[in-house]
Amino acid sequence: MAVLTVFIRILEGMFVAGSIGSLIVLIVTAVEDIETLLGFDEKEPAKEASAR
Amino acid sequence: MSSPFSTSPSDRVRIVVATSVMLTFISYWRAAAIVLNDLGSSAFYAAGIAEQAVGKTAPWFIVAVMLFSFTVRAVYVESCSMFVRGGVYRVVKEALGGTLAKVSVSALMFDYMLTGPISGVSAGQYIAGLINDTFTLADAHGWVPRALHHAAGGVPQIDVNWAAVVFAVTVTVYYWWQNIKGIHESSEKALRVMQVTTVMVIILLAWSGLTLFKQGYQPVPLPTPENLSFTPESLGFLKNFPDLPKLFGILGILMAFGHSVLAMSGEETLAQVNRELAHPKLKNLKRAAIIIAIYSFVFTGITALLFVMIIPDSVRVPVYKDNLIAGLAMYLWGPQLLRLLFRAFVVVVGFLILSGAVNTAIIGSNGVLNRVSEDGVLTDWFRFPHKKFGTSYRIINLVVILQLLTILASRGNVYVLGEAYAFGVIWSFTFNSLAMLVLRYKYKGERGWKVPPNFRIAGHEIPVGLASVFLVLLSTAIINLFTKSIATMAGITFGVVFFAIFTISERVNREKFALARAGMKEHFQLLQRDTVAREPLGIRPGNVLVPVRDYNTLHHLKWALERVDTNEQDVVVMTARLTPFGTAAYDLALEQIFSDYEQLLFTRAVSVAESFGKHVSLLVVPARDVWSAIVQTANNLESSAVVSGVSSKITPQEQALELGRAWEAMPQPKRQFLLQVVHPDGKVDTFHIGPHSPTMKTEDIHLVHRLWLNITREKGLDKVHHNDIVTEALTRFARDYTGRDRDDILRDLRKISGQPVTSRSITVDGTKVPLKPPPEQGGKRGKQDEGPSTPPIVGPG
Repeated sequence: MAVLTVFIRILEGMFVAGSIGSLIVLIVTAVEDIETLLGFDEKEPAKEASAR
Repeated sequence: MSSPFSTSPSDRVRIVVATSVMLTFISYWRAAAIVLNDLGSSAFYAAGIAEQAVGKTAPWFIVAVMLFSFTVRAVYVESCSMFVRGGVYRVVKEALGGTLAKVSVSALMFDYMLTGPISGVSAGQYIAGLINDTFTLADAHGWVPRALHHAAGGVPQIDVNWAAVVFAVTVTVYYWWQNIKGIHESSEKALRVMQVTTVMVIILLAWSGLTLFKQGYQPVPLPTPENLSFTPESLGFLKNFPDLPKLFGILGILMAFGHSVLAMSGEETLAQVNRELAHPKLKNLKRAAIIIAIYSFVFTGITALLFVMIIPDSVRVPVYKDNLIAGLAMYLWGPQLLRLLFRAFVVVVGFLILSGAVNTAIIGSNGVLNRVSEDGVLTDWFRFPHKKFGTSYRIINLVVILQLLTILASRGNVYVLGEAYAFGVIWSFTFNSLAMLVLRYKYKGERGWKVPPNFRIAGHEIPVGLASVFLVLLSTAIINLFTKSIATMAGITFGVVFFAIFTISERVNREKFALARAGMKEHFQLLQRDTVAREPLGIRPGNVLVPVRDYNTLHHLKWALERVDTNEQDVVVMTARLTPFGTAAYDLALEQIFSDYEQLLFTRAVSVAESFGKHVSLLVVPARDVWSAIVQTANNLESSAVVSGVSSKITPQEQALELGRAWEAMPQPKRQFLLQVVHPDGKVDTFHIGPHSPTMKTEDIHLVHRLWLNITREKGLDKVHHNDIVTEALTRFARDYTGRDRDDILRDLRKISGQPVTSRSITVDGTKVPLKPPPEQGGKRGKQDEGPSTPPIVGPG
């Protein structure tokens, strides 16, 4: 049971840490998305990756 | 870049292999529509499956998953900004090697194997539910004949699950045949489906808002551990520990999240359409991704909340669990007939989007298996083209058989299918995000964009955002292994079987490829070029392009060689290496483009040319669409004519129309050319591709002349020319066409076009006429057969 508890706590830790980080990703990308939708990024040169 | 075989003796046949796929590029709206056809379809079943697994609080988890899908989308945008030909196979192979790439493709295949069945069965559930409710309504009004009522022992009802199975099987068989025939799937169709779906979503949301205002709502319990109610099925292997979720708290949240992840299935399609996005690619990819994320959040996430807020608890799961949008339609505020009509509309939209997802699943899995087959992971046997249609029918058969077995095994149970489906979805995403995380350290090339935020500590970049997304995906994938027992067993069995097939095939192929390479070295010299041009082929402008695909039908090549003097005019034999939807996301190596089949095809073509004692140039081009490939190649090579065989699927007129459409879509500068479609009996149909002078009938010429005679007799008009008459007539015609006479003109033209065409065949007179290349055109006009009096481009022999 102790092993199971540790395993579950690790999983929970991963999920919580990941969720907090994902929330930050969501907020930061939302700001970028609004800029893209409103065309604020038009002046920035498009950085296209070379096709590999 | 020269081929590894370039040190060959000069007597070897030289083949130019273009490595850039000839694509027709699409706008971000169309790209978003293609992805949403897959992603949006989950709105029809995801919420029902989640509520059965975790209880009434499920909509919050669907909303959470849809918000999380914004971050998964960000991972795909980063991968596509690194590899134009992204996708899970390419990314995982680059980061983690071939073995894990095979494992990830197995997960992706499991995803595809279930996308088709779950979509087909879900569509069947919506249709069967509508039929039953219509029967109930009709019976209540006494519209059902008494005999039928008594025979059915009450209200006539069909077995919803088996009706769904029959429907799913029918749709799958239909799309199997469409794929065997190789019917081209257009982004236009996807856009139309999404437009109709959008109309439905807007009505649904507005009407739901009105209903909430008029009737109030049922609260959706907050997503706390106390509000979660797992069933023995949704606890899976943990069913002996039913208190675990509440005991640990967050574990229950994680389990519920895991039961809802299938709501974001379809994100992988984003990587597949990336290749075909128009310039500026990255910006358009971002725009498409934003549209996809917002649309699916509103459609799947918000409607999930509305289901619980509006549909009463007594019927939501017991009656409408597999067709919740239909249930929502029935509990909106307003007259019953109007609600039933809207429900019928929901069913039509569900049919369109879900049956489209069945097709997407066949196309996608065919694409992925073609790709791994090309990579030597499956033997060439799978890729062998259909004798008549040229499609990879063995792969399509395999995929469809597996899908049909899945449908039958599910017995129409959407919940079981959904549980299993989530396995493929979550592991495919997990592999992709892990690979992207590894590539942050391994890949030193340019990136167009990175998942934020990223911090630098002691010169090392810490990809906080990417690692966070990976952690959520990994923890969800692991917990799903325990809570989705059927999915775990089915997924692992499927994955192991596919992995074994891939591994064994790869070993068999390794030896075979070594022999094939040796054989190829002996006979062919491959010259790799990024694009198609005249110089590597050493040909002159005004050449004749002969597209070939089936080595059994090379009569058009014989026809061309009989008539063309190759000392004056070059003949280029070209084959388009078609990369189906999905494979365009992946890169092709030289030997993959020029595979066993192309080797056999060109061996036959060279043999035909040798029998005439004439030289032909050989060219292989990878392409997404054969018509674009032919048109672009003819344009790049400055060909004056394209000599084609008759298609097994469409008429020569339709062939010309398709080429004309591809010509119109091609960017400037572009040149006209003639298309000659050669029938097996030697009859030839000739068409002009691009703008050209129309061939006028004798009576029309006389009419113009008579008009000219009369007009030049008028005062001050003695200097008018024949072409002035035509110009004036056309100007007036254009004005009438855009004005009120449009219908009359169209009616008259329909009458004229309905008249039989006298002949389109080219007469044979024994001369050899070198082709003159037509001038470069700036105009943009159509494709039209011009009747019999056009001089033949290739004189008869």
